[in-house]
This record gives sequence, C-alpha cells and structure tokens, in this order.
Amino acid sequence: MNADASILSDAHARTVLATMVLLGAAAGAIGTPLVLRRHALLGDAVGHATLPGLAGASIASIALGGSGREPAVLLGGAALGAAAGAAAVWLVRRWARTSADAATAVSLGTLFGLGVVLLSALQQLDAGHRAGLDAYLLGSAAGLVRTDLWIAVAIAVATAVTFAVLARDIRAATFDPTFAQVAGRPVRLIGGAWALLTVVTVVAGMQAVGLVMVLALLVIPPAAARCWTDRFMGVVAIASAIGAGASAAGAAASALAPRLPTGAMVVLALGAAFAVSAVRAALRRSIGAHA
Amino acid sequence: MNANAGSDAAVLSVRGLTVAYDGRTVLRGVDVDLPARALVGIVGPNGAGKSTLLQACVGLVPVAAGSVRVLGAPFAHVRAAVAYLPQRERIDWDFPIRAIDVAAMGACARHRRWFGWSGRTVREEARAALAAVGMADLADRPIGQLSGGQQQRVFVARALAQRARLFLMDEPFASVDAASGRAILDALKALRDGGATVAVVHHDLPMVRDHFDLAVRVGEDALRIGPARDLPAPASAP
Repeated sequence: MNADASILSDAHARTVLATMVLLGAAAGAIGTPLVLRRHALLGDAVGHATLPGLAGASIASIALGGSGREPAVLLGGAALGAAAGAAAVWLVRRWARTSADAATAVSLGTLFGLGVVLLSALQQLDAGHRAGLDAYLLGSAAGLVRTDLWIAVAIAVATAVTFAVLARDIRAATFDPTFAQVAGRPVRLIGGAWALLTVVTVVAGMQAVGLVMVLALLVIPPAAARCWTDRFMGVVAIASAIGAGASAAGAAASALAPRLPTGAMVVLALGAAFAVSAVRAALRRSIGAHA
Repeated sequence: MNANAGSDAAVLSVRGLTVAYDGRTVLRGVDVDLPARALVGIVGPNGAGKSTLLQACVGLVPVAAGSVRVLGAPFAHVRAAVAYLPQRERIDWDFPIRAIDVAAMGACARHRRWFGWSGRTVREEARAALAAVGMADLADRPIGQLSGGQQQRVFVARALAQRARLFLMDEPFASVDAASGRAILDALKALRDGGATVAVVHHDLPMVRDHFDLAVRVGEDALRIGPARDLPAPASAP
C-alpha cells in the first residue's frame, strides 16, 4: 500500500508510468498488421538502424563544437537512422527481389555494423561520450521526461485516429493487398503510413527499453493477442491492452525495486503474457481436438 | 477481322498487349474481345501467361505495350465494374477474419464504403452472397477453420457481392472438393445468366468444354478464342 502510494505521488514515476503505458498500447496496435503480414522483423531493422543515426549525430555534434549528447540531436539522428533502415528494407526487397526476412537481415546487419564502426570512431574522438549512448542500447526509462510523455500522447492519439478512420482499409490491405489494390484502395499510402508509425514508435520506445528490445513492444503483444481472438480488430484491441498492461507492470516493478531496469521488466512482463496466451491457445486446441 | 464491330460490344477488349517482367516476355502483342453474358475459360499450359493476362487487365503488372479497355474505358475509370479473384496461394489462411467479413469486403467495394462500421446493407449483401454459394451456415466461422473448397467459395462470394459486370477469376476451382466445385460453377453460371462476363483461369479442360461458353487458349504470341465445345478432347488430341 505504501509503495503503491509512493509510485503515484512521485511526479517523475507518474511520467514514466504514463509514457510507458501509452507507448505500449500504441506499439501493440501498430505491430498487429506487421505480425499478421509476417513482416514482424521490420521493427528490428528499424530499431538497429537507430545506432548509426545516434552515433553519427553525436559525431556531427562534436565536430560542430557541441557536447555530442544533446537529446534533440540524438533523437533526430536516431529518427534519421530508423527511416534509413525502413527505406533500406524496402529498397532491398524491390531491387534485389529478395524475401522480406532476407531484406531485413541485409539491412539490419549492414546498418548495425555501420553503427558499431561509428561508435568506435566516437570513442576515439572522446572516450567519455559513449556513455551517453549506452542508455539507448539497453534503455533507460528513468531518463524519460515530460517531453517524452507528450510525444507518447501524440503517437497514441495518431494510432487511435488512424485505426478509427481506416480500420477497414488496414484490414483489407493486410489480409489481401491484391484485392485492396484492384478495388482502388490506398494500399501504398497505408504501407507508407505504417513505416512512419513504426519508425516514430521505435525511436520513442528505444529510449525506454533500448534499441535491442524495442522490437518486443511491437511483436509480442499481437502474437499473444492472436491466441485469444479470431477477429482482426480484436487482435488490435487485445494487443493494445497487453502492451499497456505489461508496460504498467514493468514500470511499477522497477518503481518498487529501483534497481530493476524498467525496459527489461516490461519485456519480461510481455514474455509472461505471451506464455500464458500460448498455453491457453494450446490447451483450447487440444480440448477442441478431443471434443 | 471484325475488330471494330467487336470492340464496341466487348466488355473486355485487349489490343496488342505485351507484358514483360523479370526480363521475360510473357505476352507478346495479343488481342482478345470478351462479349457480355459469357462464361469464358482461360486455358493453356503452365507459364503461358493466363494469370498474367488477368493481372494486366486489372493493373497488377505493368503493361509494356498495347491497351486494355473495360466497357470501352481504361480499367482505372471503371474499377467498380470489375471483380478480381486472386490465386489462393496469395492468401494467408491463418488470418483472423470470418467468412462474413471477407464477403463484406466485396459489398464495401461496391458501395465505396470504407469508413466507419459496416452498415446493415453491407452485412445483408454479404450474407446473401455467402448463401448463393451455400455458405450461409458458416458465415461466422474464421476462414482458417474452413476446408479449401469452402475457402474458395467464400472468395467467390466476395466477388459476387461486388455485383460487377466483368469477373476475372484466377483458378477459383483450384483444390476444391466436388460439392464446392458444383456450388462455384452454379454461382458463375448464374452470374452469366444475369448478363455478366465471367473469365476463369481453369485447368480442367473437360469441365470447360462441357459447361463454359467460350474458351481462350493462351499461347506464346496469340490468344485464340472460340466456342468452348471446340476444345480438343484430351484423349483425341494429336
């Protein structure tokens, strides 16, 4: 009881909790078409591509006489890197005619490798600067500030409005893009909007859970939600709820025991939700098979 | 050639169509006219370009040369008059969606209703389309729980719900059981009797010969159209 009261009375803990819940809910919904379209790893390519963006932005800042760790500069660099990652997957698929998973691996590996090279260049420039970037690798929810909360609000509202207006088009474009295209629906526009939402969510989520684990926010909630329903919007709604619930649980756990890292706790809570969902689906299938 | 007389009445008119992709020319300068009120089999060996022909008609593959006109206009101007059914391999059958939702997509395309929740009209038209292929009882089933033939019937129902003038179907009879095959054939004949043009890629030549009106034989450089009953019987083919 005391501990609960302290979470909600501490303004910073409230900001972290609200930011995480909003990002978790939005990421679950945004991840649903990606997972159902078997393009789940796009989020991974985008997440890893933030590293060269972060390191490049830091180097550019130092070269221009800055400190190399201005949050706005780093976030801008991360967003550029993420956008380059999404564009690279698209270009590799289109030009080399490879499958989505191979294109993702090509883009992810190459851009993350570039990021590691830039990171070591940054260290030689000034050994102290790398510390500022480590927070983005593994996440640092404690570093979330009021601006991050407003960004999370904007992402959640944009996601909700997109689904409210385009639910039918999103479902058609995800289920049968050929039909949607022949019927004259804006399949390419939706694809572009999805790449944008994914990039923005990855960059925002990366600060909290780190660029290695941000994929979990996008992929685990829909994968778990699919075990509970056979309706598309049902998966979207349940994925959103699982994302929000696991984020709240993770943020609360690390507020109660401050040495536990928030991002990793959120990802563990998501993994637990997935395990429960998968076991329940397997049980239901085996009961159905015997009935 | 009575090309001019034909193209005025033709529902689908293909002229000098050339399609190439992956460095290979699939169709080279082919012509064909399909009339109204006809059930047309598109036949030919694998890789001859049967699917490509349909895809070129609805803008899914780029046209290198020539033209495709539907009801005398470019396809993009008359989308609502055309229903296209893709090959079943292109569909993820584990997708979380019910039969009624798939059929409703066709009704939504017809009414150009894409926003908000589906109205009563859309639901009733979707149910009627499912009933026309004998799927009314399974309307609320997720598609993953249907047999292959039932899945194809749901997709035919979606096309029916579009109430188009021209139906282009890529192997709707692929991997269907006998009951589903009969239900689909009856639905296609009913469309034809209602005045529509129904073009179907199909491998079963005896069925095309016995039940279809016209056959388009897809070859390397030409499309040969003729009465379906004139197709060579497999046993007596030279």
